[in-house]
Amino acid sequence: MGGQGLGSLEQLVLLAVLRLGSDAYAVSVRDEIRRRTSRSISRGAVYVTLDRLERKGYLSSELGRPTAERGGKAKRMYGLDPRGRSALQQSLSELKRMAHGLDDTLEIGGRPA
Amino acid sequence: MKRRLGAAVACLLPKRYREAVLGDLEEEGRPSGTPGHLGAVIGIVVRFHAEPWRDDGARWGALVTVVLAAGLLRIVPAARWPDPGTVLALYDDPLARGAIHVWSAPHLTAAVAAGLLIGHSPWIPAFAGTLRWQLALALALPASWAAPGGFAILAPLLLLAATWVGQRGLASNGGAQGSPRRVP
Repeated sequence: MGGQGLGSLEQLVLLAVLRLGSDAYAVSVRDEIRRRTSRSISRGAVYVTLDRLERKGYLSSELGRPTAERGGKAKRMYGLDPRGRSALQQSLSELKRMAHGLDDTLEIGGRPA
Repeated sequence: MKRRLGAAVACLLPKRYREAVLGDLEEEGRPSGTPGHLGAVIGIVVRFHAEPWRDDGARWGALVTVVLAAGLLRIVPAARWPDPGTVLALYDDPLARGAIHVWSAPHLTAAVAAGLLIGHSPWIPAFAGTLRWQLALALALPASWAAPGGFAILAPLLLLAATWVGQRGLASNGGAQGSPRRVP
């Protein structure tokens, strides 16, 4: 899978699924990304990204139990697959290597250049 | 009215996600019939329908399919027998009459053939099932323009119906629309 890199939204979605553990579904993933990055992502973008990651074999999903607050409709719950974990590790380590030593230039952490 | 429109638009979502998407909107305080529900569903449907175009294989498959289907819409009517009477003079039996009858409405035959091709096209990957409907809708208009008189309404309807039939055949063979596919 090394030849197939992750897009930035794909990285965020995989990280959100990893953080949320057993409570990862489209709404919680979108909320988690918004809460941590202040980025507002459309619902549609989250659904198609989850679908794409599942097709790539990075995520797996199953329908949960229907609940009353959802009008009797089930959630589609997502979990990170080993391939997804490894793709995420590779993608983040590439990013780290590329950003290494550029903290001052990029003013990461609010430090002046 | 809005509730019915919302339900109709939700039908355009991949079947696999329909329940979860509608449940998510309900959870977020946008149940069917409330302000914002229709817009939210349309936004999600648009993203799902745009997604296959990101994939090179799906794009090429769509191109090949639409060219072949457009070719059928053009070639089949052009292949019509100029004078069915000569055939009937030679073979005047129910089978020949039936064949002539079908062939005398070649625009409808072409629409059915094009629809079946789009619905069953092997060049469109299983995950890109929404593309089939986009192509069918795109060709429905030319099918209508090309067909004479009353056939102008019937031809696009037959094309869409044949697409549905073709796609159902594909689903029953294991290529269900919208189901995730593992890519290498």
